[in-house]
This record gives sequence, C-alpha cells and structure tokens, in this order.
Amino acid sequence: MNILRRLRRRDRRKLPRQLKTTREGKLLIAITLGLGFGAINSGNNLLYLILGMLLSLIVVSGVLSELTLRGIRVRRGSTGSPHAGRDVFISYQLVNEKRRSGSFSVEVEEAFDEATTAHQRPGYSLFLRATERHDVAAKLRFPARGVYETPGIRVATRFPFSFFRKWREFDAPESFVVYPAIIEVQSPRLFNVESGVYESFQKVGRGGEYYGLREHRLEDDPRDIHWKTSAKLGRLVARDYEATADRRVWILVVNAAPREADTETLVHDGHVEEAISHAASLATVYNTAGWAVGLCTFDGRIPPATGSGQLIKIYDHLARIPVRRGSADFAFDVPAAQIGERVLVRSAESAAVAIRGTWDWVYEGLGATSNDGQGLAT
Amino acid sequence: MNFERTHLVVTYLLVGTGFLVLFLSGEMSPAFWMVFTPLILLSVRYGQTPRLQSAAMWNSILLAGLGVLAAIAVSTGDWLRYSVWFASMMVVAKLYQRRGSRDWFQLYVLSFLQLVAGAVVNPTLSFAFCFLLYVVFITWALVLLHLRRDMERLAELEASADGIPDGPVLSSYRMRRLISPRFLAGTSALALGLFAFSVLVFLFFPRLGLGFFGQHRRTGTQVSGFSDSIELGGFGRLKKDQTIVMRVELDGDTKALLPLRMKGIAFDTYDGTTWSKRPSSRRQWQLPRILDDGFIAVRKREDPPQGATEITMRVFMEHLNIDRKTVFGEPYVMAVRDLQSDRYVFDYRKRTRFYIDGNDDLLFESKRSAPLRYEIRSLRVPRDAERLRESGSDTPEWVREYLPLPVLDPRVKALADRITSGLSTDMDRALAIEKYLLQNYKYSLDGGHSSESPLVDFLFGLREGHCEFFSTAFVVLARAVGIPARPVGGFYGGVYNEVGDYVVLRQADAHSWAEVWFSSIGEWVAFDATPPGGALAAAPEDGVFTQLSRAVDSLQLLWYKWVIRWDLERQLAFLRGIGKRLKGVGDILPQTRGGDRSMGGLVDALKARLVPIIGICLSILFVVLWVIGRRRGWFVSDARRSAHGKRNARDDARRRKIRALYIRLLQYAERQGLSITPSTTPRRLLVMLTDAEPRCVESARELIQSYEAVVFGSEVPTERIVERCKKGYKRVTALRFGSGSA
Repeated sequence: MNILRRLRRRDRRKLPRQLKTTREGKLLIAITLGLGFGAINSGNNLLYLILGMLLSLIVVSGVLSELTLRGIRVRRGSTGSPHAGRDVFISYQLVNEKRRSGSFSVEVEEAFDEATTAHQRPGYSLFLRATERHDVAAKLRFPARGVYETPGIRVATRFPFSFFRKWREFDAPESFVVYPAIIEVQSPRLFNVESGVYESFQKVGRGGEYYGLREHRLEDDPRDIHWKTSAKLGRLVARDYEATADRRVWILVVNAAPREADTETLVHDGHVEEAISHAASLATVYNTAGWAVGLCTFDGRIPPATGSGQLIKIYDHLARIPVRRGSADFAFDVPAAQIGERVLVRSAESAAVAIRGTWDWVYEGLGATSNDGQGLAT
Repeated sequence: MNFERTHLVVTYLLVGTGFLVLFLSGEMSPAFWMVFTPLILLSVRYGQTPRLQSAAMWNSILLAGLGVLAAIAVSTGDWLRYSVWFASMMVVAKLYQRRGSRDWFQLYVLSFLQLVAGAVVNPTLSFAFCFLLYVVFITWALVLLHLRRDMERLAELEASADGIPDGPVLSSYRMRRLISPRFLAGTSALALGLFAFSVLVFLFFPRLGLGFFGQHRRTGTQVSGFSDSIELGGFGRLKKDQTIVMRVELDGDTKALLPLRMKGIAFDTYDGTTWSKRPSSRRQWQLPRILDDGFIAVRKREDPPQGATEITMRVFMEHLNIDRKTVFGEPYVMAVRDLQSDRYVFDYRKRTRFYIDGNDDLLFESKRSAPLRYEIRSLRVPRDAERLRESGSDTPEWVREYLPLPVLDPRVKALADRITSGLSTDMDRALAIEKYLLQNYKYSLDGGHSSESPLVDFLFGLREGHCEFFSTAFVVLARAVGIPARPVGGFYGGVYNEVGDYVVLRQADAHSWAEVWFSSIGEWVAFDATPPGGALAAAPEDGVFTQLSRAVDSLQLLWYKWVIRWDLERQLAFLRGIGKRLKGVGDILPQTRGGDRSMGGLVDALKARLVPIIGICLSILFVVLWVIGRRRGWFVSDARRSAHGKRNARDDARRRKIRALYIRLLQYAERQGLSITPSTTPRRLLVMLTDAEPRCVESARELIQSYEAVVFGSEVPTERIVERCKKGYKRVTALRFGSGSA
C-alpha cells in the first residue's frame, strides 16, 4: 500500500495540474449520472439536452480553470518569523503573464504535504487582469515548533463554478523554522526584585543609556547606526549602550523525557514541548529586560549575549532541538567564566531524568517556579 | 453593482424559470399557481426575516406537505405531478431560509429538478425557450455563488480577528467593481458556449432507448368525435377552436394539394341519436406486412384506381386526448410507418403497432409517451362519375351491414324517395341527395335540435346544422333508398404555413362527411353534403400577428423534427451526411497526390468550387483584418479617442473627490479629539473612529475602502460610489462622538 501511495504521489507531482472534486462537484457528477441513466432509459430527448448542459458545466469548469491558471507566475516575498500558535503572514507576488485574459479567484498557499498540519488561510486574488501584478498575503499558523519544509507554492482556483479545485505547484522550496510558542511567564529572578529597577553597570549593553560610538559591525541592529556621525565620517558608525546590569542568565532546558511506556511518551513529549516554550518565553523576558541570556540544552549551547540577534539564535536553537528520551548521561556544560544566574527549565516528568550540572532556579511544570537555593547535583 | 442584490435577482430569475417551464407545460393545476405565486413574491420581501427562517417550522411544513402529497399521489397514481409539488415546496422553503452559500446551492439544485420535471411534462417549443434562459441564469448564478462561497470560505479561515472591522468581504470595493454589466455580459457569452456544447452533446450522444420504466404521459388536447360512438350534435363546438392538432408535411406542391381530407373514423350503426360501431367492426387486426422501404402495408390491392394520385405525407400529431388512437390520413391509405424508428427500441412493448378495424379505420398502439409522428402513403382518387355509374360486380355481403336504419319518421323515407325519383344508378342518387342537402340546408353552429330526434328536427324543422347533421342526413337518406353509406369523422382543410412549407390542421378543421360504397370500383367514395362555408373552417386573418404565429409554429415543427424526434437512426444519417461532406472535400486531395501529376484535376476541382473558396478566403481575410484593426485601434474614431480622453479626465476627477473626502474625514476626526498623526493609516483611522463612535463604522468603511482602492489599487470609483462616500461622510459628521452606545 505504501508503495502504491508513494507511486501515486510521485505521479501526481509529475502532473502539471491536479484536480480535486469539491462536495458540490460530487453532487453534480451524481446528478449527471442519474440523469444520464434516466435519459437512456426513457429516450426523452429533452433529458439528453439537460444532460448535455450538465456535461458542459463539467467541461467548461475544466477549461476555464485551466485558462485561469495558465500564464500565472508566483513569487514568495517576505516570510516573517513564525512562532508556534501565532499567525504569520507570507506575501506573494502574483503575475498574470497572459496578454488578453484575466484570471479569477486565484488562491496562493504553501504546498505542504498532507502530513503537515499547518493551518493556512490562502492568499486570494479576486481578479487578476491581463499582465497585472498583484500582491497577496497568506496567513499561516503552525501548531508546534520545528522545521517545516515546503517544496513550493500552490496556486489554485475553483473558478468558475466551485465544482472542482484545480491547482498547479511552482518549485520554490523553503524551510520554515517555527520558533516555540511564546507564553506569558515571569522570570524567577525578576519576580523577586522588589524595586523593579536594575542597577547600571559600566558595561556595554543594549537596553540602557547611550555609552559611546564605535565602528559598525555587520551583525549590528540597523537602528543603532548613528547616521549623523556616519554621514560626517563617510562610514557607518554605531552606537553602544551601557548594559542595564551585569546580569547574565543561563537557561538550562531539559529537552528529554524519561523512558516510559509508549502510551505515556506522547504526553511526556508534550510536557517537554511546554518546557521548551517556557524556556523561549523566559529568554524573551530576560532579553527584553536587558539581560545577557545564554542557553544550554542537551544538544548545544549558546553563550550569553544581549540584543535581538541573540534572541533569534535562542529561538532558532529551541526550534530545532529534538526531544530526547531515557536517562542517559545528560550534562549541562556551562563554562565557569560565564556563570551567572542559572535557571533550569524542565517538565514535571523530566525531574526523573538524571542530569549533571548546577543551577540556581528550577522552573518546572506549568509556570510553577521554585528555588531550592543549591540546585541539584548528580 | 451590489453583489447581494445582483445575486438575489439572478437567483429569482433562475427559480422563476424553473416555475415558468412548468407553467408553460399547462400540466400544473391552478391551485399550484395560487399557492406558490404569492409565496414566491412574498419571499422577496420577507426572505431573510429571522422569524421566518426557523428550520423547525419549515421542516414541519415540509413533512406535513410530504404526507398530504404522498396520500394524493397514491390515490391518483400521478406521482410526477405531486413530486413537482413537493420540489416546489422545498424551493419556497429555501427561498425563506437563504443564509449561506449552501442554501443557495440547494436552491439551485431544487430549481434544476423543476427543469427536469419540465422536460418530462413539457416537450413543446416553450421548453427550448425556458432552457435557453435557464442556461444563462444558471451560469450567472453559479459564478456568483462561486464568488460568495470563496468569500465565505476565506472568512471562515480568517480565524483570528485582528481587531480591524473589515466588514463583509462581499461588499468589498473590488467585488463591487467586478460585478458589473460587463461581467454579466461575459458570463452570458460563457452561457452561450455552454448552450452550444449542450447541443453538441445532444446531437452526438448515442440514443439507445432501453426503456426499463414507463414514461409520463401528458394530458393532451381534448378532441371529441373519435370514439367508438358519438352522439349527434356534439361536434359543433370544435369549429371555434383554433388549437393545433397536427402538422402535415407533403411531398410535392403542398399548396396545390390543399384542402386535405384526413379520415379518422367511420361508423356503421345509427340508432336515431347516436352513431356507433358494431362489435364486429370494432375488432382490430394488426397490420403485419412490412414493405421493403419500411412501410407497413394497409391495403392488399397493389393496383391503384384509375386517375389516382399518390400522396405521401408526414404527420406530426400533437398530444391528443382521444379514446381511440386514430391514424389520420387521406381516405385511400396504402401504407404507413412510424417516423420514430423502432429499430433501436430494445423494449419490444414500446414499439409502435398499427391496426385496422372492421370499418377500415387505421389505429395504432404505442407505449411511448411522445405523440405519434408517422409517414403515410395514400391515394387521392378523383370522383369519376362516369366510372361510378357503371354497374360493378355483386355487392359483397359485408357491405349490406351499412344499410340498416332504425325506425324513423316516415317523412325521411318519403324525402329520400322524392329526391332520388327517376334516377337509376347509385351514383346519380347519391349526387342528388348531396345536391339537395347543399342547396336546401344552411350551415350553422347553433344547436337547438331536439335531443330525441335531432335528424328529423334538422331535416324538417330547423333546416340548419353543422357537418355532423349533413353527413348523417346524407347517410340516412342514402340508406333509405338502398345505397350502402356510412358517416366518417376526420379533419378537412388546413392552413398552409409558407414559412415551414407544411399544413396545420386545427380543432376547427374537424369535419364529418359521408362515404358511399361503389361496387364498380370496389371502394368507398367520399360525399360531402356540408355547404363549403361550413366544411372549411375560416383561416386566420393574414395580419402581422398571424405571420408571427406561423413563424413560431414553424419553429415548433422544427423543434419536433430535430429535437423531440432525434433518434439513433437520425444520428446515423446525420453522421453519414457529415462523412459524405468530408469526403466531398477530400475529393480534391487524391488528385493532387495521386496519378494526376499535371495538376489539371486539381485546377478543375478548384474551378468547380471557385465561388465558395473565394468566399472562405475573403471571410478569413476579413476576420484577420478585423482582429488586427481592433488591436491597433483602426476603427477608433477621433471622436471616440477624444471621448476616451474625457473619460480619463472624469475618472481622475472622481479619484480626486475620494481623496478629498478622506482628508476631510481625517480633519474631522482630529477636530473630534482623535490623535491623528501623519503615520495614521486608513485602517487605523477606521479603528479609531469605531472606538470613538461605534455607529459610524458602516458609514466610514466605504469611504476608507474606496480611498484605499484609489490610492493603493489604482481603481477608478464610479459616480455612485463617490455619491455613497459623500453620504457616508455626511453621516459620520452628523454623529456627535461619544453620545452613542458602544
């Protein structure tokens, strides 16, 4: 069966157009068959005339949808940075290269395979005149973090009667790295600050007061370019800011679930996913507060740093890490020179996972925070 | 154009066409129209009233209706009629419950079922008219429904509201721009394509009548006078009825063969008030002998009487509601055949069979629902008085059955004797009786004859009556002097339709005459004692309306011939015809490729077809030049170019008006205390206005959408849109912010 399915899928990919009958189309076909039987049975020529009309509807549907899709080109524009569970808009530029005829009711969406559960609201162009370009935006919402591959873009239409949905796919492979969902969390550290004001340290940072000027580096945020000085000197000069505090936090994420019976594994995986989501949210909170945030998982480590670029790195890492299983010898290897606050984020079940390392805070379960002061060492 | 309104109008047109096809069939009772017409009209106004949209209420009504209609259908056996009733009830229910695209689609399906029912009960030309309308309306309706469905689907997928009060997408600016007269014209062109393709499918779809189930039989035109017995006096009212009963195509000069005498039924027994057939005459024998050309032989004798003219006619009967399935034809019928070929009717029971009874009446039997279309070969025998005066062989015994008379007033016999006194031959006596009646009696459609002895009242009292009285009087007087005679009913006359070159016979052409047996030729000969003014019904006046009705009737005949009667045999003939034509075209080719290397053959062939070839070339050239010229604007006059420039200027002016209105709206919002900055987008402005005063959302939305369309979409607003935006602006500025409820 699998081989058959694979062959069918391969064949379908080769076809220039693909077609799916809608519910109304199925009804039309059923009525056509019924009427055809009635006409042949009764020999009533007027029924043959109506049968001709129904068959014409089917043929005209095929011809007009083909005319609509012919000569259409599409290009993907900006894709945005999607977080799981949040809408992201993807823009497409639709071009009607036909010189004479327009195209009606054109939908654009990503050609994910059937296994992908992303929710899509296709971009829609009601009417694309001959030689006209039109920007449309599709809305995507991914249910979970991870990397979603799309082989291309699907341009579809149900024009003119909605009996059939015909589409063609354009090769435009793209990987969507979907970051973990961001939820509302409170950092254990910030939670305990009574005054709510952080001390200023004489260090370079992003979130504080102006500190000085320096040569622009490629990875700098464009907003930090000091345009007046850059214009005077003829080269790009960037601002430096003092750090709000010499606060460094390591977020240690337990991306592992204990080895359990298969039926429970999925539940545990879900809880680990929640922990990863919490970790990303914590990183966001710390980063926004001007902390240097570092990340350590069983699959790698990102040294602490400030700025939006750092946050993207953390998101990206968290998007890609797998959920490990079992009680193998996992360890958080944080360099001694960089140690600051250490927050361990894990699911409740992951407490059973043996981990080597030290931390200051444990962030466990659904938003519950605890501070055991010493951390755990095994 | 407003999408909602356009869609509604188109839907009602479609539904109306579904009802129209039923109305024109004449099959539905007045009660049907009395129930549904007001309900449909009221649904226009109250179709979307929430109280009337209750599904529970409509389901109860439909369920009750189903029960009642099923009970009536069981008792009457007319399932089709009451199925149409129920389908129409469901149409009305949906008209009151139209909410989403699914309801609209269901409405179209139900309307389609009405069309299918119409195809069964209405095989007239009116169906063609309705079908054409239906194809146009269904195309419009389905395209509009498609747009509605797309909008609804996208709105459903738009799961997370982003706070912008976008309003229904169907009223969006771009949608309004799309739904224009031009759009409907384009869709109509599509509908014509659909229609053309339907015709192609109709022509080429193989006709194989399997006939598993029976078909609906229409209620035909009521025609009296063609049953086993008729009461004297019932025939007269037909003379005023112009309803068409048959159309007749004749080989040869049709006009010269007028008037037609189409015999239907003959009687033998008279009881003083009623003519009837003896039991022995009612017996029918199936005609078994099939001739080489597919005709079924009616008469045994092959030698035609002297001076006889053969007439071949194709008769297209209307649906007639008569007791006896009579085949009408000129009196000396030689052979007949059903024009609907039986060769491909697999169900033997549905094949047409012809019968003849004891009075030489030709009858048929067919299980098909369509009325009989047949070809009949007859002889028109001139009344040769000299030959008929000759004494023939002995009168056969069975002819004596046409002599008995009931006990009549002695004056009848005395009159017969007086008329025929001194005449020796049957022919002379028959002619004398005919002459006497023609000269001494008046044709009249007025009744008033005594019901007990109408003939005596006619002969000696009123001395006037219609054809039945004349034929009866002739037969009775002839029998009284020993001449075998019988009355015959049928049609006489006919109106020539010069548009279609055929003859129309109406109810008004119904006629009665007499036949007399002559041993000299061994045949019955027609005698018509009715004065000419009465025998021939008046033809309609030759006005514009008559001409028009003849043209329509001619179309009706074409409809019967080419649509209703289209069968496998015709299909094969049609394909053979195409094949022959293609072969004719191909005749040129072998000469160029084959042995005739001198090209002489090709040149000759081309010369022979010079005119059509030049015509085709010129047509192609004309089309090419027209296409090029249209592209390059050759046919655009300076005035039109200037008009184009003016139109552009008007477009710009309307765009400016929309921009100006938007700026005034911004200023007004600022005056109302809203924090308007240069970065405030139109959508943001709409949100701010809505937050400040919820009542202004509808009024402001159109202006803001139009502004976006003009600035970002390069759209040209129509004058109506500008006007609506102005009104919207006025409504917004008339509101006092902060006074409304959120």
